[in-house]
Amino acid sequence: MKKLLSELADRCLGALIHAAYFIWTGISHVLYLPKVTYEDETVKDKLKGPCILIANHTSHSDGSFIPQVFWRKKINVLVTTKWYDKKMLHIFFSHLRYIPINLKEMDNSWIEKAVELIRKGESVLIFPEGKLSKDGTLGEFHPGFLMLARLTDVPVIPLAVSGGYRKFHRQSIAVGSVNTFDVHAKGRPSVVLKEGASSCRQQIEDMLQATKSAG
Amino acid sequence: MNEQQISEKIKELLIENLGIEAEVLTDEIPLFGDGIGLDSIDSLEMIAAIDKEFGVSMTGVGKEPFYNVASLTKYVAEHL
Repeated sequence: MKKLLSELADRCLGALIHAAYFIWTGISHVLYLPKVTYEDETVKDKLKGPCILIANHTSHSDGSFIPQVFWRKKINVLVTTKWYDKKMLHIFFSHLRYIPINLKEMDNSWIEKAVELIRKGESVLIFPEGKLSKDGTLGEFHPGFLMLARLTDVPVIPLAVSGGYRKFHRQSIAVGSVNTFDVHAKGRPSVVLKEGASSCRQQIEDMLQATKSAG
Repeated sequence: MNEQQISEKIKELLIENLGIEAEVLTDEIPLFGDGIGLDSIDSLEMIAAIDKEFGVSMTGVGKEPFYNVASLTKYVAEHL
């Protein structure tokens, strides 16, 4: 009986959090006026199915803003346990679409969870730098997302987020072309996929430059 | 399959799937960090290969069994 009541309370809390998130999504659209541009229009079709989204990471808001912009898609965001396990945040993260990853341990549980969700038709958003870039400079990309692509064979789509999050100013997201790196290339994954991660980093770097030039 | 055979098979898998040079791959050399220099991404390849070869799932186990070939052998032998 106690277990049943606790489950019921958890479900009610989950419903409340989902309702609050839905309202927050609406508010985000008003506050940040998202503008999505596509480098290649055919990517729109790829976005309809499961995919791996990768993005630069300059604000904690990225992890909620991107899924809110693409709200029709079921996007699961990879978040470090440093944040996921914080008492108050954990309540939200565990009821919404977030996957914890422990960057300090040899943690592969995230990839199993991500594979499972992709096979269910959902998508995964990863910030391959693994941390915030405070000055906006792109750091090194960790190749975990390419291992996920290797295990699932879904497209890797890069996003360049302008950042800043100034209220009532357009917040732009540029959607790049599907990355063409051969994730099944032979060799040690940590070496081979690192090269691929580097090519993805360059792709996002170029997209960010193009966004800046376009003003 | 005895421990010696398991150990040899694991070495074969590591050489084949992760491109480790046979000469350096002893039972005791650490696979990660300063040893062979593998990282967590490589452990996924290892997990898949061990599962396929021995039918032993290493999903979700801690990092201790991955320390070297000897610890991998011990884990596989205990879970065969």
